Amino acid sequence: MKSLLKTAAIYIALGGAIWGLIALVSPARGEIVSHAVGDTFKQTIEIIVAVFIFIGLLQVWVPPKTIAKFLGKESGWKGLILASTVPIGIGGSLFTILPLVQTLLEKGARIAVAGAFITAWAGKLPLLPLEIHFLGWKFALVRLGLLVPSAVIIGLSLEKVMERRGKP
Amino acid sequence: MVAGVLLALSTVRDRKKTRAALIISGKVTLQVLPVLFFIFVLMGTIEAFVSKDTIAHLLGTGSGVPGILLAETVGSVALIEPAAVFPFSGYLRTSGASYGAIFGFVLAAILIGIATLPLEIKLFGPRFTLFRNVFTFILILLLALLVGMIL
Repeated sequence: MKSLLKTAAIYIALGGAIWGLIALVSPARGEIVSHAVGDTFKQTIEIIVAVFIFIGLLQVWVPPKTIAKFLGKESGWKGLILASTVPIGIGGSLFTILPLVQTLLEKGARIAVAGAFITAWAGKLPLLPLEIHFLGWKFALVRLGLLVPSAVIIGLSLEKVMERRGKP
Repeated sequence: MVAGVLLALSTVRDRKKTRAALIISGKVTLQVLPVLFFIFVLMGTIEAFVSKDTIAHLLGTGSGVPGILLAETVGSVALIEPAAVFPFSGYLRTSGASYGAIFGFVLAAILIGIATLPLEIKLFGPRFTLFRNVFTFILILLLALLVGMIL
């Protein structure tokens, strides 16, 4: 909690410092920055609050650990397909996802499942409202559509190169 | 709106869980909002100093493979919270960046991270880390070209 506040303070201070510096050196440019910050905040605050609520609800009702346990049990193609789709719904950053995937491997999941899991997690369904607002539903749809086969490809090719080393 | 309905539903089903969810939401807010503020300042700064023509030239539809590579590299290096990726991408889009370049930036920012490399190597070993990141980088490039053609 303390480090959370510290990081928050650093970001705010850093942003404020840049903003202040620009306004000091060139008031006209400082004005542009103020407008950009103000307008974007006004446009997005509602979506951002909604997304944050989604993330909280999702974490509690569908904990990532449950999903991992569920995926670890499945093997073969079924496991691979699940690993390429289910993680789309999980939030978090690489810092939280990587340890989760590692426990998956420890429990005996295939490397392909691990690789696919990480890739599919980039789907970021909880952030979908933000994506649609800023980039349009077409972009969001194409991105999600391409991500699922990508997860399969990354998973399988990763497994190939990792297994090659295991053989003499 | 939808979030409010879900929240109400969750409260009816289980008060304790809903409270836990709101605590998580609060933490996420504390974690992400300052980063967003920083990103917004950065967007304003770019707007104040870099003309839209420059962005359109570097990342626009005519920028091709070099434009995508640039977007991917920036995405990989940038220490950016996933939630901040989309607002920044939207800004790039209105500044004239192509959908292909934006696709490259978004996925590289989420999936490839200089900051997470040490953790990934520690957990999975150097070989896994190297190949995962390289494969991902190449695949994103190919898909970005495809996206550029579709959208």
